[in-house]
Amino acid sequence: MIGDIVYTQFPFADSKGFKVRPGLVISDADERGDFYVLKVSSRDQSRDSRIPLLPENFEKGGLPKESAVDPFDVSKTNKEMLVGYRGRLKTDFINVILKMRILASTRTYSRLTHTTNRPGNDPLRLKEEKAKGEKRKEETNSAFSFPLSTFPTVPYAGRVFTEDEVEAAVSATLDFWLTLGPEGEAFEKELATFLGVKHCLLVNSGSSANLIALSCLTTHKLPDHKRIRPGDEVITCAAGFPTTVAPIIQNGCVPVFIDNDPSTGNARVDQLEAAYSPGKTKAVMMAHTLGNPFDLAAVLAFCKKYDLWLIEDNCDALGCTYSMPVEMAKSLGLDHLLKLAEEKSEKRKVESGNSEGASASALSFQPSAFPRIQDGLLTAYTGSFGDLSTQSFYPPHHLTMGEGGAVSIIRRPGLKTYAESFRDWGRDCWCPSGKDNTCNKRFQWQLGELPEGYDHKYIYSHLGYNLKPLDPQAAIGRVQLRRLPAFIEARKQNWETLRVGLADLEEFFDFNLPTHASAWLPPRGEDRRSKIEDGADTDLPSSSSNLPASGSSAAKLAPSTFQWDSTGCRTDCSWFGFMIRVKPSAPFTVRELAFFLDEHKIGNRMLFGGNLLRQPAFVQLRRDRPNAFRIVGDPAEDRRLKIEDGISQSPISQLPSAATSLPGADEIMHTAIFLGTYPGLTEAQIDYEIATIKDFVRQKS
Amino acid sequence: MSIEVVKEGNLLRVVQSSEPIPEGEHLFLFTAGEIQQAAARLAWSRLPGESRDDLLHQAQSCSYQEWMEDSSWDEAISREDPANWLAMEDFKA
Repeated sequence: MIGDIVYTQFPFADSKGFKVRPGLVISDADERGDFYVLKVSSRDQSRDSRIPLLPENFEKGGLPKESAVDPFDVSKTNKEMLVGYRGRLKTDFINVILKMRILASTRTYSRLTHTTNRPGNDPLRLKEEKAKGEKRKEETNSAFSFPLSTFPTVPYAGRVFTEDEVEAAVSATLDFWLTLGPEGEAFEKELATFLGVKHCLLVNSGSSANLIALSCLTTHKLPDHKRIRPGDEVITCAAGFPTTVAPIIQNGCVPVFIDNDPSTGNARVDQLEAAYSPGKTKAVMMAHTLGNPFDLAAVLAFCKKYDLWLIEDNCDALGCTYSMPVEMAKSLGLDHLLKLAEEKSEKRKVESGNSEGASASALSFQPSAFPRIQDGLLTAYTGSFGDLSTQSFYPPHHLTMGEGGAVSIIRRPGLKTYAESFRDWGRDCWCPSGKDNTCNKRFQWQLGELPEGYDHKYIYSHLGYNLKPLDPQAAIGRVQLRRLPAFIEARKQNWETLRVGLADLEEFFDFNLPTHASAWLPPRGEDRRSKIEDGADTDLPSSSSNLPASGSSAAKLAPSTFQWDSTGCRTDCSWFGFMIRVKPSAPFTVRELAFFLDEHKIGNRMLFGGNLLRQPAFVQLRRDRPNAFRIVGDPAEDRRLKIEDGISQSPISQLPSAATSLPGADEIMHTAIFLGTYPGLTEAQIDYEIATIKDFVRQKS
Repeated sequence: MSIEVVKEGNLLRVVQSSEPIPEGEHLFLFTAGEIQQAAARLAWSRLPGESRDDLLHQAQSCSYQEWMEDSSWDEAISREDPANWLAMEDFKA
């Protein structure tokens, strides 16, 4: 049976003689009696991949000399050829060998199968795409006459991975822990270390993360003045993804919408004061839109002034950094970041003095450089400034674990227990999966009206959910986290390429600016531009246009420079997408552009739900419950309140649309689309996007 | 029948015999190694042709040939007493 060591007669190549050799059985016999063994060889024939068979590895029996096996050096034999049964290896030991074999095959499979999912600058991917492009050229005998239907799409986003992620997933699946376990625990710690937050809790989506983040602030365990109760208000913004807002309503609270600034996509912080209701406003919950940090300095100052919670929806912004003067950070109470920055600085000094430290491998986990203090600026990742923040690990996001997300507990460790409770059925017990009695008084609690000593495992302090991901997902996430620095750089680089490439279309388009930037400064000279080489060596159609495209096919672009506002704050965007707004003066609409891009198989998206208040769900909500949300500057607010209070008899349906008082969100909805910046894009794909947009503009002009 | 003999000059002296040795008959003596080879050949002849092809095919590889040439295994196995091995009936292929 598998794990046994046997002596078997093996034939010489000419079948004129035989020798007895030991083999480690790794398969059951088939109907012919054939089975596979690993060749057991002399230990002194050492190769790196060989695993020694030590006496302690045997459950019974043994071998007469020091031996080893190469997990990948397989031989076939047959039951008839057996001459002796020499021993049996322990199950744990043989499992390691079997797993190594499976994982090696997994890597081979993934390298062969998932080539198009590799990063856009991956040599294996570029080689295959070049080969495909050449094949197509041969088939069509022309680089320019491809029917569009045969071209691959240029996705706006997608999973980017290699055999490392697939191996991690298979390895965790073989362990079959299934529910959140060791991989999840490790990922939570690594993510928290990366971001510079106290704790991270994995959940099954970014939307779940938002739900948990808001819900945990409703716990009765918080001081009364901090607890968010039904009817309390939470300030948010109008254009974005609906599940930033939905948890507010799902918890019986009232979202108060402020408008978006179309130039950044983010909330108009000048409306915060107008949104505030004394005694009612308890929190601000908003997203860093499309990888562009919102004005954290202004929002933090507002939250500090009124003692409000801040939940940063960082789902689309992992890897963005926000910088502010150190003095400002001190005045905003960002002690947790300042302290961590100092600790990191000290550590760097020690490490630089110890240059003999082992160099890390490409995929080993590296703590990030942030938070950091440099030139009088504190720089830290978005998602580490507020009280809680959320991440999404759905495939289009900065890293993926399939379905997945995380809640970060930024500075108040106590919130972890509440968030965990809401994530894990609402239970009071905080034991990790598979563990009991972490509190050391499992049967000594008396809570609610339960009898004293009722099992803590089954005491529920909250009306919670079960929103945990699986352990194999966390294993994927851990590998992705190691790639994150490269992913972030690729997103920035792709944004640069698009921005430079489309710079001469500013007559027709507005392009997003990072928050606090007042202008994009075009590159000087032509050194950052190069022409597309007529689609050569790519798997993509060449544009029918001869317009020179500016996307760089070869040189890495220098980071953009911006003119900054006078706040002293800066942002460095880890772009989720490249937003384009069609100017009112343009001879085409955003819909026409989107249709053209679709026809040319270029993935593009609206800014998610646009002005959310125009979505059917919100229109219906307002009809059902006129006071379910508020909008800053809503001219119909008084009338709505009167209807709700029974003072006015006007039908709700006759109220003007609530959304009209959100011109910024409307502008985004009517004029904006975004292209991908994800790290799976190749330079050729981006060049094709640029050329296609130029072609569209040329046709319409 | 098995006979153990020892060479003394040009003669073979019978040390022991499992049965009485028949008079006047020719006896053919095989070394232990030859017997092992014969047993292997017999087993080999019982294999299905496809199995034999597979086993011979793998014998072409360098790693296989290196493995077969490692004489330290021949010595180690020959020094072993098969009586100390695990019972074959306990092996379930």
